[in-house]
Amino acid sequence: MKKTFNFSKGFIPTTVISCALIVFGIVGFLTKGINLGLDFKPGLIEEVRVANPVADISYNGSANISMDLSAGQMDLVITGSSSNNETRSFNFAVLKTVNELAAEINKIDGITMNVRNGSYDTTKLFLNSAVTNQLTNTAIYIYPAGTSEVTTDDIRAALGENGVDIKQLGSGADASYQIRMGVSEGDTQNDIQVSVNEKLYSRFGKENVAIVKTDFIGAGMSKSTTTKSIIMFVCVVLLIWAYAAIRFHWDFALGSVIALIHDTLIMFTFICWTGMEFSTTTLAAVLTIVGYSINATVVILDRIRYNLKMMPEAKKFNEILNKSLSDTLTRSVLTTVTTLFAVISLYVFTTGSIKDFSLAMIVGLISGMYSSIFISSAFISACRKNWQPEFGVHHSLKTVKADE
Amino acid sequence: MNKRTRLVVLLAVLALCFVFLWPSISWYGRTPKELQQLALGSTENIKSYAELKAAEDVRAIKKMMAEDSSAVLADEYSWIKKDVAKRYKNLDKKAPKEMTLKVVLGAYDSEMDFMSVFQTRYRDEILKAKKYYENSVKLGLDLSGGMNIIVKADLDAALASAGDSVAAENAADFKKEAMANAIENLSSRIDKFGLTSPVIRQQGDDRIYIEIPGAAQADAINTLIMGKGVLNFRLVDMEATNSFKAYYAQNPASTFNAVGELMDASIIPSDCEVFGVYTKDEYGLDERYDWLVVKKEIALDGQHVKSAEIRNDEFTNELQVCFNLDAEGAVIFGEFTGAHVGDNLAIVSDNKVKSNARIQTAITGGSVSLTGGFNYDEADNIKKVLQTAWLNVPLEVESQQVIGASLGEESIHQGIMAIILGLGLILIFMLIFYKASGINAVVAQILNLYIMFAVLSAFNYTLTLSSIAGMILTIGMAVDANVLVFERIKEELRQGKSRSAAISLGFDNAFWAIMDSNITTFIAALFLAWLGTGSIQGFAVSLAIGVLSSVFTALFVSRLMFDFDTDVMHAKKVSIGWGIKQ
Repeated sequence: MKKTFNFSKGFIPTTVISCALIVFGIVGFLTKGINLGLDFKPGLIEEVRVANPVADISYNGSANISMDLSAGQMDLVITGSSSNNETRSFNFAVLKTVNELAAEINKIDGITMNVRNGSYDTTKLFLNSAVTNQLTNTAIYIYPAGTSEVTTDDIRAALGENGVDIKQLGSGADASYQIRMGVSEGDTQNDIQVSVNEKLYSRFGKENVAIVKTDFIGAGMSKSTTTKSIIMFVCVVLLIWAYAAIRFHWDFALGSVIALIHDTLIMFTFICWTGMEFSTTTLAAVLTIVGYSINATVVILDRIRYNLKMMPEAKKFNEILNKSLSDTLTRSVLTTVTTLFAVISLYVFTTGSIKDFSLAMIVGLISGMYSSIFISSAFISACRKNWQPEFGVHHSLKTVKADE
Repeated sequence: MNKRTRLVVLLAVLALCFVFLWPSISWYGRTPKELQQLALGSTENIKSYAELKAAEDVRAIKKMMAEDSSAVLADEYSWIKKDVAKRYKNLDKKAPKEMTLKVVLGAYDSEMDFMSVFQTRYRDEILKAKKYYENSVKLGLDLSGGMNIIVKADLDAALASAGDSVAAENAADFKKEAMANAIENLSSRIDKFGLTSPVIRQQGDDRIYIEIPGAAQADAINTLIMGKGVLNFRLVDMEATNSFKAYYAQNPASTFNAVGELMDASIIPSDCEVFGVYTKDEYGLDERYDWLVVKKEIALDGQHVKSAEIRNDEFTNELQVCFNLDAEGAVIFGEFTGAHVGDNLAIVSDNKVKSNARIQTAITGGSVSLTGGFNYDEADNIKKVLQTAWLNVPLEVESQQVIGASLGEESIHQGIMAIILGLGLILIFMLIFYKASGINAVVAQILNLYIMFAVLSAFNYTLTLSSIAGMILTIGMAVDANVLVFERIKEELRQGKSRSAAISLGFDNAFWAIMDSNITTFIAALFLAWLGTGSIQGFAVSLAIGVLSSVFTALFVSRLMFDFDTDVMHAKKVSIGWGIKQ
């Protein structure tokens, strides 16, 4: 027989700790607020790099040539009725410098690659994402990744405006800069973006500015996302509660819902105090924890129901709770551990919003395990203080008789 | 169900999954990049590509034929032998053993007939690849790089600008039409860029979603979305048109460069431009069927058009497109038509000629009617083109995202690494903790991943970084069902049950715990997939699919493996963990 732990002793202390944490979170929310992402707070985020291009490339001919550049190679996909339809790959393990690469590329009919810094390493090249990759008469610039000489202050000086938030991503010569600015009703995306870009161009020169990524969300969009998110969260919780109420007794169902609301609040406490950006991806993490937490609680409730039948000798409801929690303890820990493996590997490998997502998940998972053991059971235990063995699953004899 | 039936069911599921996955495997693994590029082009491009390539081949064969008609068919054309043999058979003749050029050409009635065989071959090759693409898992913008834009159309403003001409009860219809018009306009303007597979669709009542994969000229596209459509009337230069068409027939492949500019500008007069003449094909897409050289000078700006409608001619009952001009436009148009009776006038919309009509007499008074033996669809298309001039729907960019292609590649790499590490850690853990039974869990997890990809592929779902995150998480959570079963079996074993009894009881007792917990997660996931957008939706869909497939693998596949060991391998004990006496 497995050992039965006396979990019920922990019910009151854990409830106090959880309440304290949640109050701490509310304080954080009131004093610091939540760092809302673009989805909820409209604006423009643009990530740029500033560097002198190492080469430019242009094409004069009737074929359709598109250029793909990755860390290991450059592909030129040549199609069209006047061409042989082929993909020319240039492997950077062989063509180590820009000079060597240009020598090969210039052999293709109609393509001109002008070298400006021939000795640069080919594996560290990138393109401006806001420019087409189709080769035409207009030159496309190829940028080096590690030669940035500007600083956050230079960018700020270039934009010279209040209400602009500039953040350096990466360090040293490899840095890129994230520019964030809010929008107000009536601002159009095009105007804001053009004005930002124009300022950068005039300070650093048009061909020296490469846009890595832009993100714009207007005021209307962000408002509807916020409303939708709140509706979505409430509906998910209600649906889960309805299903649990059908499958289990009402206090079990309520206990499980309390546990998942607890997890949500703990995650918000974490998001609040770490200043993590709250985006729709983070919201997805919260909603997954909702699903995950209910999953963990339901397994325990199922066991309680089973043990109710199996333990006619039990005098107090807490005995059944303790037995059920002990029975499912291995499972609770194991499932959390395997899921943590998955989430930690996400955290290790990804960057940006998915990294935040995994971090929020890690907190949520641990909280989910904890709440399914202590918080929901504490609630059920409190509800069934006056439980007698002859009540069975019910709260009192009255309902038992009514059922019969 | 007995074991054999269960095995058949399992194999059937796996085979079905493979069928679903096949287009994705073919497209990402077996289609060369240049073919991908061609397949992603518009149907118009594919058609003209096939025509030009076929013409080139036929010309080459004819040249060889002229040199030596008894020469054997070159190896690169050997595929045609089959078709030649079939044609001989249809004529009840026996195909000669040696396929000389003469024999080959003799099988065809005409050069057109011969050429169409080549065209079909080129077209089919591309269309086959295109079909694979359409049925495969798509990469979202965060993985492939590209641009997406959500544009909001201000339909109320459009209604207001139309003024009293729209009755209140028709307001809903008017909005619908205005919206369709706005989408149509955007599509044709974006078309102009010749981008690979742009997606333009309506979202809700008044939003338009535009997605452009790969790399695109962001500033040009922004300007284009915010800019107004350009509609105008221009005089046609018939003489230049004829000489251009003669030149084009000679040099079809080298007349234009990749962005549609003339390679040699001197082939048309310097005060002219050449445009394609377009009609709608059966799918409602623009299809070029002719070329027209028109003057650069604009005879009448489209903004003078105030209304357009389709009418039947009172006498001939022929369909007409009638439009009215404002006072200023009427004067300009009257003078212009008066000076050019007998010439042709083209309606040019965003660099496409939509209609080309002869000026019969001077048109004064501002009421114009176009006739030309239109059918209803043709007339309706011209009406819609004219409408764009006065139906002004203000557009506003609500959200825009531009992601570099290399950034996408990095994300794919990160996603794959995270899947490998996550899956690897879980598998090692399960093998250590549950020993031989861990193998069941391992097989279940790998099948799980396979089924998830197959279902995503079957629904042509778009794979984003957040849906990969959903998958990884599902793998972590899916182990749960296995753990529940294994723990139950352990309990039964501890109570001294035999192998088969313990396994059977273990699965039965764990059943409702697994169902309840997964159904609640499934409810949440389904709801999010239905209501959520963007990253939430991608994530929820993978989670929902993962929940279903994990229940299947944990209850069905793992059970089958246990039973197989019991009955076929005659296993007496269960290797399911440490410290369990049996």
